[in-house]
Amino acid sequence: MNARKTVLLIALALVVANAVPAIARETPRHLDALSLGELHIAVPTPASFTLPNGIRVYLFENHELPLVALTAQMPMDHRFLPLAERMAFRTMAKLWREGGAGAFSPEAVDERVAALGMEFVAEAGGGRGQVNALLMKADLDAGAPLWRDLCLSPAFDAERLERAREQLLKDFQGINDNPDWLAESWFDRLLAGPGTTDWHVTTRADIEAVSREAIQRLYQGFLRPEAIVIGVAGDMDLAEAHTRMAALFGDWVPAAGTALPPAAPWQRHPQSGVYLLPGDFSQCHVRIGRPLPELTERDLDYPLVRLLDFGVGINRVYLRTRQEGLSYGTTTRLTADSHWGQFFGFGSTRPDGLLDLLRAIREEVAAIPERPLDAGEITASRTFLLGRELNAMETLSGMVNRRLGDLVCGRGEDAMARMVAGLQDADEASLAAAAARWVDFGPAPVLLVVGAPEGGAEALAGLGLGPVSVLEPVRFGD
Amino acid sequence: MCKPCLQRTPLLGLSALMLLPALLGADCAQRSQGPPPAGAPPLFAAVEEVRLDNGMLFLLLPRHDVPSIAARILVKAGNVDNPPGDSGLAHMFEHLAFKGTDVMGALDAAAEAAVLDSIAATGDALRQALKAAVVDSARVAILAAEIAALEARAAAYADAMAFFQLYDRFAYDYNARTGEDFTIYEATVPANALEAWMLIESERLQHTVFREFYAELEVVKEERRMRLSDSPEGMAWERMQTLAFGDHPYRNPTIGFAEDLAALSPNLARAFSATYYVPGNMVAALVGDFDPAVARRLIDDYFGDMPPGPAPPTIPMHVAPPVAQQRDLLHQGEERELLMAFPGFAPDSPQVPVARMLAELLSRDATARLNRRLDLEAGVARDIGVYADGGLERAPGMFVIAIDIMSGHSNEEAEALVWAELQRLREELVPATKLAEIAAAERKGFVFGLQRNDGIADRLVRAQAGLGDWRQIYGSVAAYATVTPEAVRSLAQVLFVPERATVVYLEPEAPDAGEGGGE
Repeated sequence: MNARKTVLLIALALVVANAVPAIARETPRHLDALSLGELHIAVPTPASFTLPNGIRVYLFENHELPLVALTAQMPMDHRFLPLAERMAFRTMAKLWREGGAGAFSPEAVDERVAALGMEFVAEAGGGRGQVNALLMKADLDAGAPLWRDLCLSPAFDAERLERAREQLLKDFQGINDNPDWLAESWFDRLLAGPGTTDWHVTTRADIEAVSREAIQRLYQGFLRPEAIVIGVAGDMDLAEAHTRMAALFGDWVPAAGTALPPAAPWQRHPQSGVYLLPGDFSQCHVRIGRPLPELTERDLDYPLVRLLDFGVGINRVYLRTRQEGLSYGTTTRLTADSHWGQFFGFGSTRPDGLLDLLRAIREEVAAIPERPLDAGEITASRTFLLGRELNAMETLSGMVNRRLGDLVCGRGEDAMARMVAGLQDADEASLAAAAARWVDFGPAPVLLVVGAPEGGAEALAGLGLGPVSVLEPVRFGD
Repeated sequence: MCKPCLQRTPLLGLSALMLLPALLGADCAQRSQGPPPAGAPPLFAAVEEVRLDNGMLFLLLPRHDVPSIAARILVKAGNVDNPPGDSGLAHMFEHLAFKGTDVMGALDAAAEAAVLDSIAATGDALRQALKAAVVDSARVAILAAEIAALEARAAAYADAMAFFQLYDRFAYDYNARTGEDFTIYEATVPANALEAWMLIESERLQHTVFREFYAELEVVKEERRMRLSDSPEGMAWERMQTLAFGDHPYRNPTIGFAEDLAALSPNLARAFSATYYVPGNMVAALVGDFDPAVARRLIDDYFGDMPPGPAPPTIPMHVAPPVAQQRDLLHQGEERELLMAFPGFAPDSPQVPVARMLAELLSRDATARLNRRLDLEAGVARDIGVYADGGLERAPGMFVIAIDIMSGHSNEEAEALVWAELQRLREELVPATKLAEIAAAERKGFVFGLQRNDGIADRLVRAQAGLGDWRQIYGSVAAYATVTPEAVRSLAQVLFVPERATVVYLEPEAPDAGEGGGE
């Protein structure tokens, strides 16, 4: 064998040797054959500083795109406000962005926003109020003062108030012919019970009674420098953020004596029982559940609550009701906010499928103690929820709004990191223990059906959950 | 994997030989990284095309901000491709594509296949019975009972939820959407799960088993009841679409007419997938935290073996415009809504940017003409939507105006105000400054959208499928700047002609109308 041939053989051997993995690489046909590598999720830490008047500012620096997201947030807890003030709050939320700001008339705000092509919203609800803007870095000088003014001096224009009232009324009236919204609204009423503001059916008179002065007074009550938190994300460094925010907010002081006194909390009085709200719809909509007064999002087990929310709802109830051809989207929810929680199932099906749908929901929930979520289901829930966290991190507005929301709603500056860690640490035992506490309709749930089930009220009576009350329809927004 | 590549692999130096497995994969496909789209933001310069020998195109855009990857597979098959009388088929197939494969979910594949064949044969008979001029209800009931029994038998041989459960375990999020023109399979997966996505999607595209067809058909019927039958707005839109498109398949609702859904069959779905789910009819995009070299190899491994298949049939491109104004009235629910449609333009028509500009002028924001006139000034309406193409991307669509009427006002009042505004556009020149403002806002909005990987992936596949080249991704945005006041007026004169309009009123249900509710 000459040298040339030897080299060639070595080369061929190497080709074969290296090609073997490729030839042998019959692609797997099942995921079990794959092992995923480690995945590290880093929760960004913002820079922060405090302005002389006490307003805190957080900066998430990111220079990939020439964009800046701005948010100004403050706690706006309206749940326990007296009824008249709750109506003022809802109207305020509708009017906030539309009603002008500082020296800008409503029309001038609209014109400026259109001219700058910026995203500009104001929202109130979920325990907080927020004014958010997303704009090109080059438009900051023109856009940021508008954002500041909508936070510090919204005008709540009188003419736009009329429009906001009409639109709010239309929102409520829209409930009347939407079976899903009817079910949601009635279920919330039944969970809260008579004597609570959640029981009240909003009328035209309620909304027409809201005055501009009441809205202004309410807003000023929330607007405290120690409560406001500013967030900046995007193409800006710390020095620039400091300079700009100090110029925009640094010399602001609130009017004296306008702080809102704390409202007295009320308790829910759930109306356990079976209820039928008759309606001429092609589907029956169902809700079944109970309040969880002791569960809040501040619970140390909150990541477990989120895992159970998805794990039971999707992995068990949703998949089973899909597989049985009963429903397009029936599930359960385990939810909590800053005050309380609830566990409930909801969905819709054809009139002759209602009892099967209810049986499926109840059986899946009842089976949880004997058959808790397994490792695969926990992985599925964890993956989905980690994805939600990453989803928030992906955009400037998503990141800054979420992180500041954690602050103003009392979840804490490190809430996102704790959630990520909690999701990753959860195991079968901890979830089974949490499920035993929360995943249960209890002996006396609230069960509501909207529509015309086959067999009518008698069919529901056979469920063994007590007598059926046929509800008298109420009109929302009339 | 693509075995013919081995024969084309050149002899390389020793160091390169060590990389051979990766190179083998990369060499199987045509890879290119041409010039970025003109005027587009710089990040598009990094888009890489990978065209497999079987015709399937992948667009790759690495971004490393968060450890996730947005993935899309667009199949150029939607409602418009359904055979006549089989509306809802494309959407039904999309549902079936989550039922697993001969590996995923199969407990006894051979036994299951035999029962599924029986179901398909009985399904053909059921379809025939339902499509007969006179429907024999007794025979339909017998066949339906046979199918139910067969599906119960088949269930013993498979776990039809396994595919969902497998996908759940590695994907942050996944879904599919069937539209008029396309079906898009979408997922967001962790950065360490790229191969898992490749595996599951290649399995789905090549080895779908049509499990639980009739049980899933019931789910689709529930979806229709939820989205349409109990939604007055949905039913009004269906009426408008049916009326505006005459004989064109765009007339059909994507979810299908109730009577068409009842007669769908497994063999029909099989034929549909064989026709349209071929590699040359698909485009995929990956945007996010991945290594392009690894992605190229995996693409070749998992998708390179798909047989190319013949090109699917084309769709009718001609939509006959109405010769006289068409009107319809629907009494359902308690709300009022006004829908107006005018014949639209083919996606490659030079009129498209002008039509889009018209839509923006009418309803972009609070300064737009319909918003100002009908909402802020007259208080007649809210939620005003104007769509230049009605969401249609392959054939001429429709220019749609949709208006939610406020309590105490009428459809007639709103329609009169709309026509007055349309007449202004026909007569007066729009200020050039307003057009420039909208063009600038569109460019900015495009940049806002670049924050999200899934948004970019969506745009890439849609531009490739709808416009023939992903590099047009920025073209439609840039085209706003070319629209002149004269062009806007000229198009308004052609477009907003009463005789070419289709008008639908949604009115509250009359006490004895008896039209509300179910199917």
